[in-house]
Amino acid sequence: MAIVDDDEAVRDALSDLLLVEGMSSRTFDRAEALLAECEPGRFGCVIADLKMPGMGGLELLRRLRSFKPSVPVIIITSDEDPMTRSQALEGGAEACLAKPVADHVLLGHLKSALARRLAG
Amino acid sequence: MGPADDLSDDRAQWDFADSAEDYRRLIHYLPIALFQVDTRGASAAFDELRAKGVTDIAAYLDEHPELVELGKDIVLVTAVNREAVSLFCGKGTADLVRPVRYFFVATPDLAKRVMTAHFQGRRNFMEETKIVGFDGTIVDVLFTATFPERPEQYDSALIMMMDIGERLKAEAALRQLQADFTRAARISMLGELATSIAHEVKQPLAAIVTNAETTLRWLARDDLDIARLQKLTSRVISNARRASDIVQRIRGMAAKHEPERTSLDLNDVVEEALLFVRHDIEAWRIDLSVKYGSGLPKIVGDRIQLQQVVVNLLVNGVQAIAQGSGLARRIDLATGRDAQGAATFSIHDTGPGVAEENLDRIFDSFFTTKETGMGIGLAICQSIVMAHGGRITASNHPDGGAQFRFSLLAGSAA
Repeated sequence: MAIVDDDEAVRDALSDLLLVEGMSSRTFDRAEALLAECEPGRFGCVIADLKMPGMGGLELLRRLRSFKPSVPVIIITSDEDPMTRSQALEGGAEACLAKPVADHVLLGHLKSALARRLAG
Repeated sequence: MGPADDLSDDRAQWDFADSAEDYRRLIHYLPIALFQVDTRGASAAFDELRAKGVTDIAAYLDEHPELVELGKDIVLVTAVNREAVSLFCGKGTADLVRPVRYFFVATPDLAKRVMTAHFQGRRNFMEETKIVGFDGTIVDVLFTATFPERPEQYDSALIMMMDIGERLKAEAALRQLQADFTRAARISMLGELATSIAHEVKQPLAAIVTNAETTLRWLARDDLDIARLQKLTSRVISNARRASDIVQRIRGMAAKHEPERTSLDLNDVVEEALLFVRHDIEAWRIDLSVKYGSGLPKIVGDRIQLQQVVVNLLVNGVQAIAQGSGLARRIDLATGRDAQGAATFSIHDTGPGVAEENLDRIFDSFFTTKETGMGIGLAICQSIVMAHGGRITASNHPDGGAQFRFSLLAGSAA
């Protein structure tokens, strides 16, 4: 998994949550850093924030979805604007979750995204 | 005081057929309290003092307070008008025709100052003060004494008292309104910053929730990893503290406080103000460049108010760029020192700039081009800058976009 968020506390917390469920992850503080290391198939799923310095989450989403095969992306954000949510979902995000994120919701989306991938 | 001698323009003068009666009526019904006062006793005492060589009467009266007390008893009110009786809540003029002591019940020192003016041969004396009516009520008045010059009736003086309670109340209400406006503007600016701050607080909150949930998941397993649990728990604590700090900052901005006078470095003020707005700037993906000038003079003023000015200008810049459609998204800040030795701050954004016709009005109260704007922000900025002895200007930058500059005098007081 990959976790992209400019806030260190959030990155570390998410990374540990994935760990307790047996999933390993890499954390990145900017979208550009993730893209630099993202060969197709490298990451099972990307969890990304929307508002980040440099490239924002929506642009990252667009790029990841254009990969072949496309990478599942779960958006987490503190933005409450419904427009933002529909933009994320229309952009192909698995889900758009509001911070603070409930663990079972995030894990649920992760697991279904991974299962779909395995199924082909 | 007889009729004027120059009768060259009859129409401008009172008709003197019943002049004495006219004047008497005029004076009696004038809506200002009038007191005719016999000052012979005081004049005699003053002559004696001058003969003894006393010149600094104020100092002499300080050393001989008994003379002031004597003055209150030997100077007598000889005539009053209707308004005077009403002001002191007397039953009739007789209640007021007595030594002047009753003028000074609320403000004993006033007598000293009146006597000083009289001794110095001043024509007029005026002071805002209080008197106590016979029923005990305290009234704010404008107290005026007019001392005659020869050949007028030399040993009488005219005292006037005007009730200024209403005016003082209106002034106090106005000051309160201004304070409330400033506070409202601060809070409305807070509204503009709320998104930025809310986003900031949600980060540590999100980390807390996730860390705590992860802890629970670990606790549900058979293999307890104590070290990991300790790490997760201390992360919860430090994130909670971080959230609390953010809330404290907001509270600090919204709290009422008296303007302070402390020695400040404008660069520090700008750096602190940036803490509030940096997130918005990054969220809108704006390039920020800050040039901190060196050798800036120290300014004396209120740190929070000046931060408010910088934050307001920054937020305006961010909004201008966010609304604009230009590709360039930059805000340039610079501090420096001008030719007059004042500390200066300038901000340039790459937004659409200010319409030429609005440049003149941009600092006016209630002027706004924003749909949900209150038009108070820049007006408050101007009043804060001016209260610090400075000036603020707005212009359009030659490269496009708006530019705001303000200067603050070195060592100036708020």
